[in-house]
Parts: sequence; C-alpha cells; structure tokens
Amino acid sequence: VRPAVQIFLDTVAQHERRHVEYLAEALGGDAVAAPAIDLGTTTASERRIVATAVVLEDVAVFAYNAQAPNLTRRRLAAAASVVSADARHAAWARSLAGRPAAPAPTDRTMTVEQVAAAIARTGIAW
Amino acid sequence: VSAGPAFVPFDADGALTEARDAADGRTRAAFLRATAGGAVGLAALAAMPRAARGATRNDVAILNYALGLEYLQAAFYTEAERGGAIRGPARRVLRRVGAVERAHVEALRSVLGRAAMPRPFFDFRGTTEDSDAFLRTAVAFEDLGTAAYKGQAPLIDSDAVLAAAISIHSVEARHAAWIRFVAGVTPAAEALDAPLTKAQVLRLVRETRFVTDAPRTRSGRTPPFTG
Repeated sequence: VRPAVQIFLDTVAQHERRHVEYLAEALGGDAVAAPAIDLGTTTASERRIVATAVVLEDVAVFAYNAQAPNLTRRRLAAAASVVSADARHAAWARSLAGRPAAPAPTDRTMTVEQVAAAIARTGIAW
Repeated sequence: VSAGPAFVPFDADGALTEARDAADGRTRAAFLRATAGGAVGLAALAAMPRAARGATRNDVAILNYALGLEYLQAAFYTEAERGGAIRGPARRVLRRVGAVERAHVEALRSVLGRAAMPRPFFDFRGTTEDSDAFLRTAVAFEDLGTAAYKGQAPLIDSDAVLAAAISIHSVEARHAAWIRFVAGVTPAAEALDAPLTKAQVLRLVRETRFVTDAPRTRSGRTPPFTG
C-alpha cells in the first residue's frame, strides 16, 4: 500500500483496538465475546482495503447514531467519543479513496439488520 | 444551562443581507433534497409539529448555542468563498463544507422559529484571505464544533432533538477530518474524541475576537451593492 494508506491503517487499527478495550471496560461482564471473523478478500489489494474501510467506518457512524436515543445519557456521552473518531476515520478513508468525505449535511441512521447486511456486502463473514 | 444567547455581543435585529438570504435559500433546498431519502436529522425535526419535538427550554438554549456556532462556521466559509483568495483543493472543500454549514444554520433557524438567536456580526481578521491561516482556522472550527455537539448531546431532553444533534455531530467530525487531510495534518489525532463544555467553547470563541459589535469592512474589497 502507499505510505499515506499505511499511516491510515496503523492509526486507525490502534484507535479501533482502543475502542474495543474502552467498550469492553464500560460493559464489564455484559460485554459480548469477540466473534469469529472471516475477512474474505477484503484485504487483497489497497483498493479493496480502502473501499472496505469506507463501508465499515460509515456503517459504524450510522449504527451509533441510530442507537443514540436508546442509550442512557451517561452511556451516550461515552459512545459519542467513539462515534466522532469513527466519523473522522470514515472521512479519512473517503479522502484516500478520492470520494467526498462528508457527502450529506446530516449522517443517516442504520438499524441492526441494515448494518449486518452492509457488512455482509463487503464480503466479510461474521 | 443558561437560556441566554450563545454569543454576546450581537446586533439585536440580526438582519441578513439580501445576498445571504439568497444563498441560504439555495442551500436549504439542496439540504432538504439531500435528507429526503429517509434520513433522520434536522429536516425531519423541522417538519415535526412543535409538540412532537418535545423541545424543552433547556433544548431551545442548546439549539441556540449550536446555531451560534453554525453562524460562525457558515459566515467564515462564505466569506472565504466570496473572497476568492483560497485556491486549489482547499477551495473545493470549503465550498462543500460551507454549503453544509449554511444548511445547518437554515435548518436550526427553522426548528427554532421565533426563538432563534439573531445572526451576530463577524470579523475574521484576515483568516479568510490566506491559505495557511484559513486551514488552521477551519481545522479549529470543525474540531470545536465536534467537541461542542458532543458536550451537549447528553444534556438534551428530547429524543427528537438528540437525534438531530447527533446526526450533525458526526458530520462536523467528518469535516474536521476532511480539512485536516487537505491541510496535511492527521485527520484523527486521538482514539477517543473529547467533548468540550459550553463555557470552554465560548471562551475559545471569545479569544478569537471573530464576533464583533457591528459590521466592519476591513478588507478594502468593494461592497457587493454600491448602487
């Protein structure tokens, strides 16, 4: 991959590991176990890596935004720190892909089912 | 949370220029089109009957505070776009981001109706006329906007208002990352983005001295309407 993409991958991988820790800590005993994930061919080329990153980060933002009103306001404060980092990742991946980083005035929401379907379309199985 | 205006001082009548009204009208139409496909957010909020929004006095104060920040951002990008001094990739981004910020202003004004705070006057002190100063200021504004919405989200009473605020919050974060990318600085500096309180945000805004008492013409450019 290009150096610009490598910097993105290194930074975002570290952020996402931190998000996992942060959420697992917040959930304590209620945290779900890590699922088995098959990335398929999504990491086969730079183009696929960046395109998949756009989907994963966009979908994360839409998923968090959909759940915001279902959280207690205290939990919401914690989740909001994750969602804007993911929105930054989405804009970064989109910039690397040469796509508009913020295509709409407001970000949409996605239900749990829509999120699962969007991830499945990338070729990732979990 | 104080129910007072987010920014002081500001002019009491808050009249817009003819040109600004025309520009806002165009972006509002584009905004409503862009959000028509089932997306939630401000357009949906504006379309709701007042009672269904469930906005409390506290929510109105928060929305006015958000409106103040959106006025600041929108005016900044509009001035930079009109001035024409910012070129290249930065110009392409500022036009798109500016259109979105103007749409946020218009949508918040329509949600707030008569409770909307009037538009303050701004003097951007040359930051819209120099590429480096422009990019530094734009990064600061978008990081600030993201932190400000994040600080308010847990304080909002109405779920409808919360959904709208949250749908803007992540767009401000996208803008911050986008402009950072163009400026050549890391789009995502931290794994967890910190919130800022209203007091912290307003102090930072005051320190810029961008909000002024009355309109000023410092730039020496010809005013748009001279008769």
